[in-house]
Amino acid sequence: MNRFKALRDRLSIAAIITITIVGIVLVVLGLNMFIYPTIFSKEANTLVKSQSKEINKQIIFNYQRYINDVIETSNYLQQVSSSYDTERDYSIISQAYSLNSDMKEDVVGITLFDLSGNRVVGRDLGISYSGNIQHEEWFYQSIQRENIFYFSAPHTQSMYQTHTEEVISVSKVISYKKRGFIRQGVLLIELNFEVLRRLAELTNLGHNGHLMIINEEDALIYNSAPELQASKEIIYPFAVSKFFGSHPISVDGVAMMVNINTLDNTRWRIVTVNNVNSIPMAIATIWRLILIIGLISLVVTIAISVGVSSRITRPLKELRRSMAKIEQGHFKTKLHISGQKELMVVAHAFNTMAEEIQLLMSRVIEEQREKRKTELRILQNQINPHFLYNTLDSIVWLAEHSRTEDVITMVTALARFFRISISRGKSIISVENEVAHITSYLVIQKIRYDQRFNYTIDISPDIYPYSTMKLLLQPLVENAIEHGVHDETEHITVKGYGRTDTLIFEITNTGYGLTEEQIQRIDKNMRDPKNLEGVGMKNVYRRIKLYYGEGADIRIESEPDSHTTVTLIIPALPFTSEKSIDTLSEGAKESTI
Amino acid sequence: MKQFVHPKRLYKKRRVFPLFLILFLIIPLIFGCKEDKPSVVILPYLYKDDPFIQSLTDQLELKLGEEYQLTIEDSMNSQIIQNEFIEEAIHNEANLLIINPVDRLGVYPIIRRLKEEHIPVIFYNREPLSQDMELWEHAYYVGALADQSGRIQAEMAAELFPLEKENLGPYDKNKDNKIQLIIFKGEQGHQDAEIRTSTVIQTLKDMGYTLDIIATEPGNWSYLTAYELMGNLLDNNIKEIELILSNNDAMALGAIDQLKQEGYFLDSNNNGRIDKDDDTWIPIIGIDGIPEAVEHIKSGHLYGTVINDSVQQAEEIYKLTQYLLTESSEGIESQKRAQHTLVDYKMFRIEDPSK
Repeated sequence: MNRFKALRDRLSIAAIITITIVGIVLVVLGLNMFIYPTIFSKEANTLVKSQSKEINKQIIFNYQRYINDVIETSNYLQQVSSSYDTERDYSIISQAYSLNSDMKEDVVGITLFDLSGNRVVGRDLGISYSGNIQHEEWFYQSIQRENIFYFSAPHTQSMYQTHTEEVISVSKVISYKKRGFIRQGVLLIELNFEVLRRLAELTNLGHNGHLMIINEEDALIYNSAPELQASKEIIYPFAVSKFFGSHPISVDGVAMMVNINTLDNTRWRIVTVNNVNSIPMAIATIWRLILIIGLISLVVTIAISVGVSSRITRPLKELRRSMAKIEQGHFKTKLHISGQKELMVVAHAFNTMAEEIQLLMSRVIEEQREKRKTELRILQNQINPHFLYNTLDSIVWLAEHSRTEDVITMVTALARFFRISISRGKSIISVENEVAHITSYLVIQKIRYDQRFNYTIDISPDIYPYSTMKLLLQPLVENAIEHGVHDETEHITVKGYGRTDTLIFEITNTGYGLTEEQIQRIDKNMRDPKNLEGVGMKNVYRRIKLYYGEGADIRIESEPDSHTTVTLIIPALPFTSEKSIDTLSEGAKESTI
Repeated sequence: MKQFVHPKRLYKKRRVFPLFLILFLIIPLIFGCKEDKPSVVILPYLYKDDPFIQSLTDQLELKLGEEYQLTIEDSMNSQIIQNEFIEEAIHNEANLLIINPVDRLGVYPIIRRLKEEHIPVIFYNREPLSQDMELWEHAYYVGALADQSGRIQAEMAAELFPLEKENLGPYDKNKDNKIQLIIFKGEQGHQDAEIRTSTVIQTLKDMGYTLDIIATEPGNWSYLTAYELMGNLLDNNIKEIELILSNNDAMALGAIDQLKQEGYFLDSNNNGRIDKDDDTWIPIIGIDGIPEAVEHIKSGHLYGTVINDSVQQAEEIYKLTQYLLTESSEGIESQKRAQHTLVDYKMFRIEDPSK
């Protein structure tokens, strides 16, 4: 049960629909294919059996009529023979005898014999006849049977004729009057068998259908198809074993119906053998036909059900494809499904949902951008007051010591510094401006630090037209001065160059350097967004990450007792005057979400 | 105490219930047709048009109906149709067949077949050939002796024509010491008809009568045929009729009705019945004892009849059936019983109809 359920759940809608339809059709077809031919063959068999019975009846009725005719003749002659005296009214009786035999073409002759075998009345025996009447089978057989007609088998030994036409002898003991006394005699009616043969031929028994007559001793006394081997070898013993009734038999694969019935007033059984092979053949044809129809309808059903199910599931597949696209982030994907009402509803709902998601997404992006902008501003603004107070303190100190030259240089540098810092509110400036900015800063710091360090600015003019964020280098240089400049005169180098789509700035200061552990701690601290400690480098790092994303980085390396180098890597983006913090690069966008 | 039933069990039970229901519905359909009672098939040669067979069949139905599952089929005077019913009975596995054969010569395949199927058979009314009966010991015959009916008919006739006198009494109307008589024969060549006819003639002759048989008419056992034949005879200006003997009652009644039309059987003294001493009275004797014949005897038209006792024959058939199907529980092979049971014919007449 569970396994079935699991299997069912695994199947696609199309498969379920197809299997269901085909299954139903198979059941209906199967029932049809089973029931129809079964009923048909049953009905057909019943019909054939009854028809075959009818044919048998017909033949027997024909025979019966004929036999009754013979019996009536005999009864009439018996009555005549007992009503009139065979001696005194000989002519009357003789006339009655000859009339009956002459009128009927099938009657060969009628003769009445006394019990000694002498002719009393009726047709004379043939000239060639020389036998003893008492030894004739018809004679002694009839004497053995009181009140019963004896019907002989067809034979060629006519009592009257010499030619070899088949005749049957019908005989019975009757009473007749002779000289006023009632006596017993044997009446013989010899019949031409041709008439009986013709009676059977009137009915159509089909190919190889034929007729047999079996007597009470089960002897085959007549067979209308003696040339048929199977008749004698198969059907005759079969008929004998069945005694009477209707019985189907197969002879060499041909269906036959054997009907056996007694013939009234005789001891004969008439066996008719009907060819009923057309029925099994018809049944076979019907089976074949139904099989073909079944197969065709099965194929058609499968085709239709596959078609219908694919029609139903095609929009579903499209829906799935569109969903996969959305999974990949293509929110603008729209479903264009034409199909069933239910699927249109689903598609519409899907489209609405996608639109909604898109709307939500853009809102989220907008919110994120706003947030970052605010954050950047806050970070940038953190720098200014801090540095301004120190510088102004230095200028005051210089003025107190009347170092006018230095004051001028410093104020000039400060003015340039702030002009670039402010940059009319823009966040992105050209590298050239950044160089000017950092130069102004170093000029100010060198004076402030009383020439305790030297500096070199080595920025390749090639990268001047590129853009950078303002105030990126300044905090790093500030760090270098703060951590690198001690009592001895140190050197600070600011290097800048471009390398394959990136701008690289290296700020190096001589001095004690940092241990590997320190570097790792600083690095970790810098990259941890939750740690709010540290202003300078962390501030820069967060800004470049916010703005440039993965394309930007800060690396620290150090040679103890020699120098420390902080490398800033940002993507190389050409500077345009319109560029502001509002337009963020694609990379940044993706990384923030 | 509430018993815990697992939900799954409940579910199963519910499923099993309709199955039982279906089985209960189907089983009687399959096996229901078969009752415990043994089945007996009765096949009269003709039911509707033969009053004797009709009354005998009714008797059988009355006697056997309660204990056995009866099937009665009219063979419609056709051996072919009867054979079909026999086949059907064999197919339905009948326990016993009671057959009135249409053609007594055609009985031998029936006996041979039933012997093979081990279905005992009781024949009645028409006696199969003795050599056919010898084919199987469980083929039985219940009937009457045909020659007995002829003898009884002769005895009744003899009562009307006393031999000791000079002539043969008041009914020898022409006083010629001979009986001018007409015989209605059932069927030319018919076993019973031939025997009845020849016996009655022979018996009368043996008693010492001289018979003047005016005509022997084959009336086919039929009222109508006899009615017509009687008409023909009267038309032909035959001699005065002193006695009419009929092989059965139906033909006797046909002859009476024709004679009535021709001015015979008049109630001259208006006593509500025909008196034997009336000049228009002719003695007519039938055989069978059907109810109409009894009525006609009461009214004085029919002198008498020989009762072929259907009640007694039905009783004998019933006894034989009991013996074959009920009493011998070890099967029919264990005991032996005579194959032939012959019931006596009975004379029926009313000496003085006024009583």
